[in-house]
Amino acid sequence: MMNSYRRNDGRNVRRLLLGTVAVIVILAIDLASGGVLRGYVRGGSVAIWGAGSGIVRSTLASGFFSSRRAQESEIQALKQELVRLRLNSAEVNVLREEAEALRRLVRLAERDPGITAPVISSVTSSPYGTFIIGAGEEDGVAVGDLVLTGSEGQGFVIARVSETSARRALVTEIFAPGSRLGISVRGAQFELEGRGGGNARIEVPAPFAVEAGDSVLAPELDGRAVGLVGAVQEVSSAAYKDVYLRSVVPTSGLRFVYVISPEK
Amino acid sequence: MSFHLKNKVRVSLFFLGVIAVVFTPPWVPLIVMVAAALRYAAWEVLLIGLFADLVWLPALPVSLPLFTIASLVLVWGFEPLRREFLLGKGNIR
Repeated sequence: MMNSYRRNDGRNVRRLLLGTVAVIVILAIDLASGGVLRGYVRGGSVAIWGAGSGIVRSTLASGFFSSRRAQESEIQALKQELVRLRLNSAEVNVLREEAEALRRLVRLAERDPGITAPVISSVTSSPYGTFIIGAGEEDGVAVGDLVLTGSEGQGFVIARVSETSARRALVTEIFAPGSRLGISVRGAQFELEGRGGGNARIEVPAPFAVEAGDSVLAPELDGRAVGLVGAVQEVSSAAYKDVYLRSVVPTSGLRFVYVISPEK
Repeated sequence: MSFHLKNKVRVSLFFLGVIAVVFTPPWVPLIVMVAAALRYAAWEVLLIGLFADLVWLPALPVSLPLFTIASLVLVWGFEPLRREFLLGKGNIR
């Protein structure tokens, strides 16, 4: 009996070894081919996402969960309203600061040519702070392009294009976990550290005056706004304080984004 | 656990993991991977990890394939534990 266990145990280990080698080979092939495999797998995942979303939508539309659906649509409407108000408030803040301090440096008033693209994947599933949009090289999207949300490209930068295929692009959130970006708050330069989920952190000297609601600009991204100060955590004895930043629009509610080229 | 039931559980966990990669926050597939790797010598956990990285890993900025690495760590890290406690109780095929 024990011999049989050992034999089977050895078989399991051999299978795991084979699986490990296969995974490494597949990753190597993907890297060597410049992400061709990734393109196919993403195509499959987008199809799964589309089918799943379609099933959920048609189930809700069938009236099967009508009372629940009514509640959910009310919640959605309130959320949209909240987002709109937050956006308005944040845009007013940004425009005021531009007018007062950065008028000569930042020209956000000029509208940039760009394209509107649908979000065709979950925006909360990626461990790397990425999501997929339904526009690619055929639409003029290129690696490094800025992904904005708001109105007609005047809004906030939420991501940058990381990879493109013919009709899709993978974008990485500005506040993706571990990301770093030079930003400016009240005219002072800092480097943010992304935390994922539309959150980031910076460390500022304790005497530096900053408060919740201040807008956060990114000089590297043509001085565009990337978020707001969400909270300030101060310890009386420390030389530095933590400032937590948040995205203006919750990425989980994104349906469409606006893509522009930073060179234009 | 019978051979067929064991296979059903493993296949279900695999599909659950794949669906979770696409639809849910990253900790959900991670839990599925841990559950599968803890109970079985589940080579399919490697596939879930690889699938997550192929879908979500960006080329730029360069990042380690964390889910693939996690799946390797889970599958091989739990091997001594499975050998010690589950020998002859479901992981023998």
